Amino acid sequence: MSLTGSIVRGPSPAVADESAELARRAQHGDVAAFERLYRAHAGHVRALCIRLCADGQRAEELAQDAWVRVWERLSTWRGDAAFSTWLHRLTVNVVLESFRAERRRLARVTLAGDEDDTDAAIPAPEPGDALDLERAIARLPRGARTVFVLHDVEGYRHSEIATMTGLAEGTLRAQLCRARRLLMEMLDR
Amino acid sequence: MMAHLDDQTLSDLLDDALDAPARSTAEQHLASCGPCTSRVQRLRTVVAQAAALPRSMPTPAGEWESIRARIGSGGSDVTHAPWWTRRGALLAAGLALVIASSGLTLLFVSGGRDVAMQPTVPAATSTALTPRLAALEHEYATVTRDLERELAERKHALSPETISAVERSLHTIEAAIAEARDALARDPGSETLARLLVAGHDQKVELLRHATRLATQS
Repeated sequence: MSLTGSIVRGPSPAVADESAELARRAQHGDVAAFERLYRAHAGHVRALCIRLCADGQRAEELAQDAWVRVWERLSTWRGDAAFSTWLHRLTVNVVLESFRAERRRLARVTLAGDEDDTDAAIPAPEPGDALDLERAIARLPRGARTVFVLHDVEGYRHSEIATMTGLAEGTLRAQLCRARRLLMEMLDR
Repeated sequence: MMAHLDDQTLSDLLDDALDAPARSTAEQHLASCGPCTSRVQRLRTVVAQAAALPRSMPTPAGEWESIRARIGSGGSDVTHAPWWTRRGALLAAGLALVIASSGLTLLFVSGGRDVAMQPTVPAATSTALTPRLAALEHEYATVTRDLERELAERKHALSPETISAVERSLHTIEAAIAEARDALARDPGSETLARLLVAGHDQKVELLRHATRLATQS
């Protein structure tokens, strides 16, 4: 058994039932129902976007993009999975797509064959600069941060993250280890 | 005593990602090694803290209103129907016509879920790119398709003059992309041409994104 758990944290059954009902109404064009869905889940979408991209302004744009995408693709939600599960996967996809778009821009200067690596250097903290976990996560390189947030914060399994990111499981385990090590170092300073 | 466990082993141990022999070896080591036990406990604490982080964060003021504006004023008849049947369909069709004039764009939309046109890009052209460029173009295709769909849904909010300007700009950019691509087909090893092609794609994505933002804010 995993010592860290591997179950995506979800809402209570009552909230899940209500969300499912609202989602079905929204599928028929009920904007008021969609707004209630938004009110119920916007905070989590926001948290997911902020933690993944570590940029408040960008997170705001991506959260909006995610909700618009939800509206556009509501018809594809069949109720097989909880609405929240579907929503969070879609949100992650929106964020990862934005990362890929950014990588393309970087590709202009790495066409000579460099590997894509958008991980930025971690800014050196000031001496005595104790970090809380949220700030430390924001300082992680993007690849490590993505895997850490999806696995340790959101509770996705390695196999699920591999599917979402296209990373081999060995690579994402290495990224996860890197993230944890860096976090320990930052938090222990 | 064996060497200390490395961080990857400790991390995998936490995730139950070690095979049975490796796990047994690691647990035996931990039973007699204070530093490794201390480190794995620290690691476990970080993981536990992460799992306990709040699920939710306050949303910015006005976020729903922005989303509401972007999804339009109608219900399912506007948003969930095929794009060519929605409001603004004529304008969208006009844009699609411009886009369809480019063989490159036809390549882009070939995987589109909502686009009725079929790609007619010559196979010789599409196979002339290096695998790396082909992969980049595939990514551009995904983003461009989404942006085109989003813009088609919102362009009714733009003035005819703006739409015309966007279409002209798209046409110019696509012509430049097509030229770069043709040149690259003749000289596949040219990094300059490759950069030119990528720059063209970037411009197109940025233009579509900018136009979509304009439509959202209108």
